[in-house]
Amino acid sequence: MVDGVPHLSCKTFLRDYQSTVRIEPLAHFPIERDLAIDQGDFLDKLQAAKPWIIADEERSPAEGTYRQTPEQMDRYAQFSHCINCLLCYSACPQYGLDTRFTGPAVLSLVHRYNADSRDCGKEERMEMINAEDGVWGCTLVGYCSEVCPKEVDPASAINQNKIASAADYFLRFVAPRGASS
Amino acid sequence: MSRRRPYVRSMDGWWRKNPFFVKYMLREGTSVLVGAYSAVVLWGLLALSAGPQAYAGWLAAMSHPFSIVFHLAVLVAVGYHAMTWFAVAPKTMPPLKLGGRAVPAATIVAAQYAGAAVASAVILGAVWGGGA
Repeated sequence: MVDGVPHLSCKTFLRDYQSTVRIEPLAHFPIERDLAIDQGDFLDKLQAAKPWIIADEERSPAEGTYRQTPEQMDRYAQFSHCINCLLCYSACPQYGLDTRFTGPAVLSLVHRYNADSRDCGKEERMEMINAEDGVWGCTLVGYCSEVCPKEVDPASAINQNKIASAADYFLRFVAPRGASS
Repeated sequence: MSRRRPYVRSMDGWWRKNPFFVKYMLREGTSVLVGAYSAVVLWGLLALSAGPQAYAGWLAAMSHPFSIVFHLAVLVAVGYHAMTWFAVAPKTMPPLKLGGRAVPAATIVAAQYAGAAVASAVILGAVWGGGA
């Protein structure tokens, strides 16, 4: 936090500030000491999101690489730029008020893998999106996208998934899960 | 036994600490007036269905100075509310593509203003043009 704003200190230049600069630990995270925060909660959520490609079938190197068109890559590329810097969590009052909220970066990563044409793990991750602490914990403050240094736009990822979550809910009445197996 | 005692900061007055959050609270706050206005319109509809006398009573209540001040306040609140939602709309929809290119957020926002202007012109034209 630089002068109360979530900002990467490595990208902060003193020449851009007048007289004093106030440096604080990242907001909304428990402080261990000095500027060090406890990011355990984030790391647990990150792992729970299964941020890796879940393939339908195991693929051996002999079978070659996955193929993807530039258009297919376009759908997730922006969300894959996240560097886990936690600025978006520091910008999110919903996370500050209730840390059960999954939060911007993890939900963006969930979207990143769900939007990837190589991935088949959407159903596993939908539970995380649909949960009350998932996308519905977001009230579109929008500050996460404002502070993101990599232009990931977490607010967009989350709010696109509100549509996905609502569709997932209603489609269940039309085609109940497991009906085809 | 862990000796760690992580310190959790208080969130008291969080929305006053950043102008961005003040604007957010203002945006959310305008929904109260938007809700109040829908209640007034609903009341008018109920009065209309209850008969001419009830409807005349509602119309009389609407011309009270207090009601006019309320409606002006609602107009300002709804205007601000609409502006904020126009601004965030590009974030709430899947990426829009025209001819293989992503439509910029500014274009989506501008299109909403244009849509609102056309709709307002049509409604005002129908109300005033129809009455003349």
